[in-house]
Amino acid sequence: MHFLKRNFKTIVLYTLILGTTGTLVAYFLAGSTYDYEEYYSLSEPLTTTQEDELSIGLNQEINSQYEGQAASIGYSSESQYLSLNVDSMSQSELSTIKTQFDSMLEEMGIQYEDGVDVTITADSNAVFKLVIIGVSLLVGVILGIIHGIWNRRVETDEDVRYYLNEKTLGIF
Amino acid sequence: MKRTDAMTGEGRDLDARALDALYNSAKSILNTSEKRGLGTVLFSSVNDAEGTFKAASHISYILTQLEKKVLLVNLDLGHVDGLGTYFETDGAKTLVETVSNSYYLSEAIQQTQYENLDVIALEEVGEPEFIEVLNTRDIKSKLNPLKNYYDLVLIIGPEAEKFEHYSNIFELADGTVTVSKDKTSDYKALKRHIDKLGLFNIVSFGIIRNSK
Repeated sequence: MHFLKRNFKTIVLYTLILGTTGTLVAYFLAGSTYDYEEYYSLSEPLTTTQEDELSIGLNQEINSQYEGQAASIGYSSESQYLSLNVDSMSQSELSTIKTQFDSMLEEMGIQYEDGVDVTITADSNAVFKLVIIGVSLLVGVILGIIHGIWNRRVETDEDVRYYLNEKTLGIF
Repeated sequence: MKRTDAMTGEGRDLDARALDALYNSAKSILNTSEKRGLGTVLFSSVNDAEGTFKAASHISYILTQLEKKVLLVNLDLGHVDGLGTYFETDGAKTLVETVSNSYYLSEAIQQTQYENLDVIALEEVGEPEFIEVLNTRDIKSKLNPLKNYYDLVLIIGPEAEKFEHYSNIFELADGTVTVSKDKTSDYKALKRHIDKLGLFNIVSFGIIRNSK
């Protein structure tokens, strides 16, 4: 009980500092990925072979650089529209992937018009953010407690009474 | 009251705020000492020599203002100039030299600029020699006549973390005050030091905190 009374402010301070740091980290790191969907208008519908080649090319050249399947295409046969879907990438990664995809289309001789309908959705990552903040707060409490244990100074009359079983004769 | 004779040597003025802060401590020490017939009070610390000298010096002065005769003895061999911080003396006589050549500890007494406040200074000496003097020169008995002449004898002890054989100091004291500096204190070290008092049946007046 005396330990808590004595170190309450320290523990709260550590928790606040770590919690604030964790919140900033959560919002700047965890919140910076996006889902991307872009429709391409094709001058001619894709053949099945072209569709497969695109998928294979995507996997080999683009997805191989990232963990999991980041980019995929959506196409219904005979359709005039092709969609490029990218999951959970940063802005710079998105523009790299789009540039690579556009090059792939050009290499395959597919004529297209891009930017027909672009949707960018920021990932909420709510659970991830909460976990970061929760862990930061917990680390703050633990650090505060460690600081309290490490701090063996006698700084108040209560400390004199509790730790030394003595009374304070005077303070100067 | 200051003596009118000019003395050589340097002394600084006492700190008015410290005098104010330690007034009640001085009265408490005096009151308890008179009630229980205590003649010597040891001021010691784990690691705050400066605070110990300051507390002992200011309390000595306050006691003289309460019409008491006080002798302040420096036994801190790590700070032989400590008394000079607040007191002017001629610096001629020192403890070890006196007891080595004479039976009477009183021959080491020096007056200060304050009436009724005298000191015994310690010279530079190695720890083994100092302990030998404490053990073989019967300082404890030699203090007795001084306890009759002075209302209180205050002893300043060395820093406990630097002086191992504190039993030699404890046996000289009837009562003790432990000085603790807030910023550098360690309750484990303080408890170890205070627990030793119990072995010597010394009255503990309490802790004086140096909050600077």
